[in-house]
Amino acid sequence: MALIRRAQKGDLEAFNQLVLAYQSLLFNTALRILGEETSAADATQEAFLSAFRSLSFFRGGSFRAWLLRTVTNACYDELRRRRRRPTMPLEPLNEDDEEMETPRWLMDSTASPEEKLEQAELEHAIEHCLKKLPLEFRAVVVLADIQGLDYAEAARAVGVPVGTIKSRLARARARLQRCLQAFAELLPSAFRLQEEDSL
Amino acid sequence: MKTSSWRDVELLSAYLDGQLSPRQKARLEAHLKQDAALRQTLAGLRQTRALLRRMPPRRVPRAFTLTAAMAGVRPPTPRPALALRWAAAIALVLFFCSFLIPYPLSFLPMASAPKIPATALILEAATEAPQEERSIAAAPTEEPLAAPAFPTETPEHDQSLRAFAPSPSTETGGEAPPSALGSGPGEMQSAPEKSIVLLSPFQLTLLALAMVMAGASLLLGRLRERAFRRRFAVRGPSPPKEQ
Repeated sequence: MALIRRAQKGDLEAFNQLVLAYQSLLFNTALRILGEETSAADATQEAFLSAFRSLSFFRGGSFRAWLLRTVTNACYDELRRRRRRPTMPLEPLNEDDEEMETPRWLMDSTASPEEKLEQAELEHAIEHCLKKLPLEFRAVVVLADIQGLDYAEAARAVGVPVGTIKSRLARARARLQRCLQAFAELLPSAFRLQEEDSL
Repeated sequence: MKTSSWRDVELLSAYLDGQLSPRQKARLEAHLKQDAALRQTLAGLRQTRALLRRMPPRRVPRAFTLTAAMAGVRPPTPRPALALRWAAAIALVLFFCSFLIPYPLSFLPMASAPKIPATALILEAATEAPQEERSIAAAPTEEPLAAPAFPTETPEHDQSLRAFAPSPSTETGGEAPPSALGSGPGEMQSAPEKSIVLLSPFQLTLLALAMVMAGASLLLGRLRERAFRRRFAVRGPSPPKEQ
């Protein structure tokens, strides 16, 4: 809190200490929302810059949630920019120019399914499913489930009521569950491990 | 198999996070005992949540610390520089006042340092010249106030002016006795060649002080800025710290 107060008075060194403490949280949030490292790094930098400039508006409460709001806003801006200047999608398109829903494109025909049972693959599968979520659902599930924020903090970070968080989170989880089911056969050991954990 | 409604999914999701009231929780648990589809939905949600929570954080590609230039921060002005800036401003104000209020400001220093003032030399030369020339010689320094206070149209006024002003530093004291100036008639004849200097030593001192203090203030500010930028430039790409 002392660091925040010093930073509010314009102490850049104090603010940079806060940056070092929170940069991993902000970068990983941006990474899961945007799904791409370079854009996530840009959004994180933009978020910290914006946070420094508007630090005088911080009136207490969860500083972590306040910072996360700056990064989710930066991610929204980035996604709006992408929509204005669309690039080629990561997923291949089918005959109807729609993104393929199945994870078959992820499979390497030269490798056996056993070779895919790595954490990196699971991570890739989750990223793939996260990208399919609408942005407002994605941001909530990233904040609540990946970053571990409670409903109140997530509500503050996104700027919506707690009831909306509850509803969006439930829908996001249900959609992710359906999407990830397609990977369950591909990554049986990873899913089995999660089942054991969740019991 | 019966599929769960969105309302059920929302309740199950909140149940996983411990966000239900005791009453809601008891009711849902009773439903779960009776409904296999509901239990399956809960298991799926729980597994999904566990998968997400096990996502390992990626290492940050670089430090996101801000440099002073990025943040648009200017270093705070050092206190001595501020004091010097004020002193320079005061010296400048006094310098300009010395033109507007000639008598006290320019007389006092001359009493302590009785050297031959430049303006005195100008005016001594002017005593030999016609009245029109004298007013022209005095114009650059003291005309605005001196003219209405001490009109110089008639010789009588000129005489009263000489008696009133003993200081040789201004036009009002331009006709002080030669003994007070320490200069003889010969020197007075050579005075027109020295009339290029228009400021008294007091005014010159004020001007020099203002310039020196302003320069010192700028230098201090620049030194502080350089130290400030060096400090944050070094800190910039520090190794990332994992949370």
